[in-house]
Amino acid sequence: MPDWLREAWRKLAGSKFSAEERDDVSRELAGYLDDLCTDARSRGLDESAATERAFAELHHDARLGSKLYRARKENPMHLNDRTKGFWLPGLLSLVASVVLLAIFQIVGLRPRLVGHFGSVVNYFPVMISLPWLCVLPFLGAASAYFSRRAGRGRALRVTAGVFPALVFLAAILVVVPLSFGISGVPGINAILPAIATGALSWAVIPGAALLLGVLPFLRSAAARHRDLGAAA
Amino acid sequence: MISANIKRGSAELAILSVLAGPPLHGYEIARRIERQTNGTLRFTLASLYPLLYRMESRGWLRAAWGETPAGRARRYYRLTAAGRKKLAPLRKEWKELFRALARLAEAHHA
Repeated sequence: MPDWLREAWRKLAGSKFSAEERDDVSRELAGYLDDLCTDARSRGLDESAATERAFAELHHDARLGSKLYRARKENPMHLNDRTKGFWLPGLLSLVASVVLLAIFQIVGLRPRLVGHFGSVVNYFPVMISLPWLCVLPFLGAASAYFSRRAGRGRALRVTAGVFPALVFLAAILVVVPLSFGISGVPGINAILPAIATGALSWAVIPGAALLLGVLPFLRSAAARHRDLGAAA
Repeated sequence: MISANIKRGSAELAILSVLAGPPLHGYEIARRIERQTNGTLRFTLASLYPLLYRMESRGWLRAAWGETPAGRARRYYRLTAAGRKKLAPLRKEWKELFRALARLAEAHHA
């Protein structure tokens, strides 16, 4: 029997599908063709006739790829791809990370001091919350998974995965100078270490934890397809 | 008022109707429609999937990968609440169409 996954993948060549979407659609069409062949054979057709029938269905419409693409993109009333593949997983991950951090604090698992910069006068602590860091890879993984499922490329999967850390970094860059300005504490000499320690505590280290969860979801569809083909 | 796009409408009704039951994958949907209409309605891969994807995009269907009893991965479709809501007026619309056609045929006969 032919490798239907490969045949369907070839059929979609030239369509506008991303590699992920093409992989997903190919798998589905391959399943249909496989069922068609099996069913035809159970009804008494020999293998070559069943295969021929399946090929005829696959190649009946030369514009199948573009029709499927248009049908998949016809969703004016629903979330677009960027929303589904980036904003939604990123924002959900951000909300979950903030809520979890708050819960850990409420139950007494407060961030711990692991180092500091500066003197007693200008003291800049580096804090980490170990339980929080332990759950962040799962949030990063969930974001990257949903981003991949929505057909987004590696760059957006990574960005969606580490989205909470990016927001924390942006907040630090705004809030720290603002708070120094309001409290009237000395300028650049104090602001830079405060930003550096804040970023390390709440953006760089959590970002690394989130990225850890993202890593398994960075494989390209083409690589997965090659593996599927090799296994078949 | 009967929808102008009769062909697509009938196909949508057929798909929504068979999915009113348990979730089905693409080939099962095509086969079930063929069986339940005694072969009058037949879907091919090229006619079925663009329609399924369009209906999924509109939020009438939801699809998820699952396994067949034989352990094969297939994408199963099921009706969403929006799909169920769509099914009732579509059925009514088609009944109206057939009644209207029957009246026309009877009038022509008389």
